[in-house]
Amino acid sequence: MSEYQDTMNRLEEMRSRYDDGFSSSDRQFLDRLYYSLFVKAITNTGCSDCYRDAYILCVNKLKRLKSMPKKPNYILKAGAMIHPVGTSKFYTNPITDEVAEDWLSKYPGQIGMFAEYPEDWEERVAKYAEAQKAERCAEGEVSGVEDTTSAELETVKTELQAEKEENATLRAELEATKALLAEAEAKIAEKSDDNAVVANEELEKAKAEIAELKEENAKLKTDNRALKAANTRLKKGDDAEEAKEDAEKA
Amino acid sequence: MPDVCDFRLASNMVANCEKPSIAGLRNNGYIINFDDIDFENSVRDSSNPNIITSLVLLSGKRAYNVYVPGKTPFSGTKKSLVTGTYRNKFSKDVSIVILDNGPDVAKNVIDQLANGTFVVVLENKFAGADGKNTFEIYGFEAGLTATALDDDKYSEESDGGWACTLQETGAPSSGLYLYNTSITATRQSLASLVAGS
Repeated sequence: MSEYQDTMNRLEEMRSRYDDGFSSSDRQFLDRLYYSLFVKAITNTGCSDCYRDAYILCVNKLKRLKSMPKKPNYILKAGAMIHPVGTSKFYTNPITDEVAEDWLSKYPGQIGMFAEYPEDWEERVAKYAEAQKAERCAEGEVSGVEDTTSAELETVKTELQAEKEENATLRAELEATKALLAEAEAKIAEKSDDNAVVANEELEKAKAEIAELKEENAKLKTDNRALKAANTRLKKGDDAEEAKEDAEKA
Repeated sequence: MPDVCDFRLASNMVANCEKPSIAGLRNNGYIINFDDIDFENSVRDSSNPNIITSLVLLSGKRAYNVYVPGKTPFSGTKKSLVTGTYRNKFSKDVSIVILDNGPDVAKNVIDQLANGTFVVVLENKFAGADGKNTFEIYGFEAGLTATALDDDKYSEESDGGWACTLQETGAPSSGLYLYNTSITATRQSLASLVAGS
């Protein structure tokens, strides 16, 4: 007789105690059946109605399913829980093969947590680990390309940032230079005004000097003419004396 | 292993002002046959051995619910220091009222309680600052055994049922707590204890 038929027969046999109240062994049976069908405990097990409700729910579900739920390959011991590191997930019975094999691939020593497991669990776990490795490799290639692209992007970004910083520095320098230039121009302008005044004064002085020099020159020319005239006169006088002397000598 | 046991305080003794302590226990508990526990695969927290992170049962075994209604369920439950010649230890009492009776109860519960050894998990009303005080385990070290089982037909205490006192003597730990990551996860673990494997 199948497990489903056994269970249905037991439930049928329990029907006679439905109104009077289930026995403690009935309640134990319902506890386990309810958990295997609904993956949760019967709420508030202290009341009879809760077990009656659980009984109806179990019967209805089994009639609908027409078979017992598939027994998983891996069954954890009561109280054992799988908590993958770095996640907020917790697994208790029933667990999928994937969850169990993932856990065992990382912690094979914890096979003791399992009440039931396939005989070839080590091979299955090894296969699972290989498949995971291959998947990770495939992801790694894609992520490798992504990594390269992102690395290049990062380099370009860094360079761009460096250029921006350099530009900012240059701008600052340019501004500083402009300020210095403006200052210098202002100083030059100030100085050129001073220079013009000085030049004018010097020019006036020079003109005055020139005028003086011209006067002096005019005087000197006059003196020179007078001297030339005197010289001419003297020369004439000398010639007459020389002619007299020559004549006297002759 | 050190040559000499070093008993020194490692923390202040202060009141929790943000989460004041609350006396008492909640109405639901769990009872397990001591020999059904898979001690090899049960795990204590490495940093605090008073925390049991994983309480695992042997294949095919399960825990049982204990439900005591009323405002003061499990009244009489306590822990006390017992002085010893070489080392002081703790005595832990768990009081349960079984508000049911009959041949099934006598066969499946009372007769077993009378002679068996058990572990009980009770839920404190005061969860503590970090929730780790929620589920306390009694009998994990030396096991709880019955010291009193009374069916007083006119007792208002047991109301036609059984009053049971289980005691663990010589427990080296003052308190053991079941906690794995969060209260929700621990509750899930307790549900799987009841579901069995």
